[in-house]
Amino acid sequence: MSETLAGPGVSHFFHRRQKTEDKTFMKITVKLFASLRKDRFAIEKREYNPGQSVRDVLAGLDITEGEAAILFINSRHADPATILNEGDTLAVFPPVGGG
Amino acid sequence: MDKILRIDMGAEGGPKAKETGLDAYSGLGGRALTSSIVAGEVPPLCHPLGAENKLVISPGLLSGTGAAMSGRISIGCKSPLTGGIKESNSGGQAAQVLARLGYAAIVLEGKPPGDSLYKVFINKDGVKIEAAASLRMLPNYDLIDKMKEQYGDKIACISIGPAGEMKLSAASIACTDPELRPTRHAGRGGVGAVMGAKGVKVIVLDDTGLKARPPKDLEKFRAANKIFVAGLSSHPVTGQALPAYGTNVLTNIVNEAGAYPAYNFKDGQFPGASKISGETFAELETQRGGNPTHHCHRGCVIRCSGIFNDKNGKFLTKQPEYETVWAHGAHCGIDDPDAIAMLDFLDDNYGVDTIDMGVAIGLAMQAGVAKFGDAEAAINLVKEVGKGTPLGRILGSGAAITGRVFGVENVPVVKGQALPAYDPRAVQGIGVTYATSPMGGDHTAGYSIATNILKSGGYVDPLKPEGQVELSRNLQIATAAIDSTGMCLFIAFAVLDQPETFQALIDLLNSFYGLELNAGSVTDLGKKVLTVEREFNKKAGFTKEHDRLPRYFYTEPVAPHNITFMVKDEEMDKLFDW
Repeated sequence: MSETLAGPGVSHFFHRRQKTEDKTFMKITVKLFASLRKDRFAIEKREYNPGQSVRDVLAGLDITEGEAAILFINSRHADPATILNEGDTLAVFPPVGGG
Repeated sequence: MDKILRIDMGAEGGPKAKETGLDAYSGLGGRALTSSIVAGEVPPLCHPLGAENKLVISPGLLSGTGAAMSGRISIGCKSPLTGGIKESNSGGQAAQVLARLGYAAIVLEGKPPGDSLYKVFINKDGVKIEAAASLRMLPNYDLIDKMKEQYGDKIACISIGPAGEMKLSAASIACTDPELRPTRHAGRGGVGAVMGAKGVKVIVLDDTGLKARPPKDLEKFRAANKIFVAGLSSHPVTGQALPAYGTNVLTNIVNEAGAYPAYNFKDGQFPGASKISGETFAELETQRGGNPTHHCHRGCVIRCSGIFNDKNGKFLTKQPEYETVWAHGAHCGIDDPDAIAMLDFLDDNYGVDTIDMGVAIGLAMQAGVAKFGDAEAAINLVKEVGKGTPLGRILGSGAAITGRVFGVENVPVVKGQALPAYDPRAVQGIGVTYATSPMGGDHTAGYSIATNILKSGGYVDPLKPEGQVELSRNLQIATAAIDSTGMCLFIAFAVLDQPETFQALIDLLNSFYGLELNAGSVTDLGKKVLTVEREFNKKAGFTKEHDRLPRYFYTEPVAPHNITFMVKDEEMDKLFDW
């Protein structure tokens, strides 16, 4: 985990610090839904070091893997281990159902 | 619940009611009972609006008991929309009340001469059938107000609006909720038209003086119910997401998955999705003094329903369901929650299926009758249905008819019934259910979204054809069984994930009836129901070629995944081989 993603629950306030430390950061659009938005956000463009995974993003947002039941990268199901690429859109859902 | 009430609407001298035992139908409830009676007693080649068709209204096996979630009612007949067998399922109070009145089913038979209209009142003292010409063409809300004036507020009503009286093939049957509002509907398949053809405007049920049905083993029943409720409350879907956001929590996720059909299935994502999402609706409802967490029947612990108030804080409608929001929203290019809520109210009031109605409006837009995104035009088009104008009658007859009348090529229907809110190209499992369900284009019949998208009960990649037939088969079997118990289908999210909750459901049935069912018996029941339904459809003229999606889903790819429906015909033809 990079130092910019160190503190659970607060790291997203500091993610832009990464800019000054690493010019090759990736721009990732992170979307949160339903209960995960509480005390966080609905959508943000965020910056991460290359090679970081979904798991790193979740940890930085203080979201457990149990809470992040359904993950999409660019509209395809992803896993916590999936490595992100520049320009990706990551969507994170808690367990939901309906129909 | 050991008797059947049969009302011969065509009897000489006026409708005649008689009670019979369950006889050959002993041990059946809900969908198992409606489908068995329809398959056993209705000539498959009859006209759905004729005297030979029967409308069967049946609470589930556990309805009217103290079991949580047991308030679903099944309404069956030969469908005027599909021409096949139909079981349309609704929440609301009717199932519990009808079951406490002791009826496993009400069967409306025959047909009155001319355009006679009746109301039926049932309480512990018996059945009264009276002429009801003064109720003619009343919308559901006005009708229920009149019933309240006459019978008080301890009743539950099953009714049709003007669409049912006009025998439009997308007409629904309304069931009142705990606040006596006609908000819960047996929407699909035109069951309201069959009730209209029987000349019954409303069935008023009053269970005053009657208690919950007693289980054979009260102690075991209570213990099972406790485990069942605990399982539902602790599961994140049934305990958190559904209560907080309702079914419309799906808008964002299905849109994100690229499976949210927009502009008549042209795209797999809708730019306005977040504006009409469950999150947005829940926030609006809370702001305006409504409520995003509400039960559609007493005894529901999931509470996925809600109350939607207008901008002035006045009740407008219940929280529109996901399929409604989609059909009137993304499908028509509309992203205004207030317009969608108004359309939901109008649909409930006139008594039409929100899915077939919304899809029909979108097809009219495709044909240039109105522009995609024009909410006002959509509202006016639904009002045409209420007025009974020729245009309104066309639209109220559903998507298949509307598409044909307006010369639209891409009409999303299977067996004449509109496809709901999931693109079968981006979720191949639901495509199999749409194609093969004896009900026609229907999502609940085998809700593969759970596994394909929501990762509930395992995971099967939605974008590949592999594994979809098996998935749909297993879900169709389980659903047919659950639909027979009176249980809300949403228990499946917890039941699929938690073995102890599934066991508690079986224990509820066993302790109530003194049975020794196991998981295998549940599967057997589901297969039996599907077999009976398939046999009826076969005799009604359906072949394997009817178990297909419209051609364009095989030939026109949809964004963002740019894929077509790829499950092979031969594979789908084996779905019911067991």
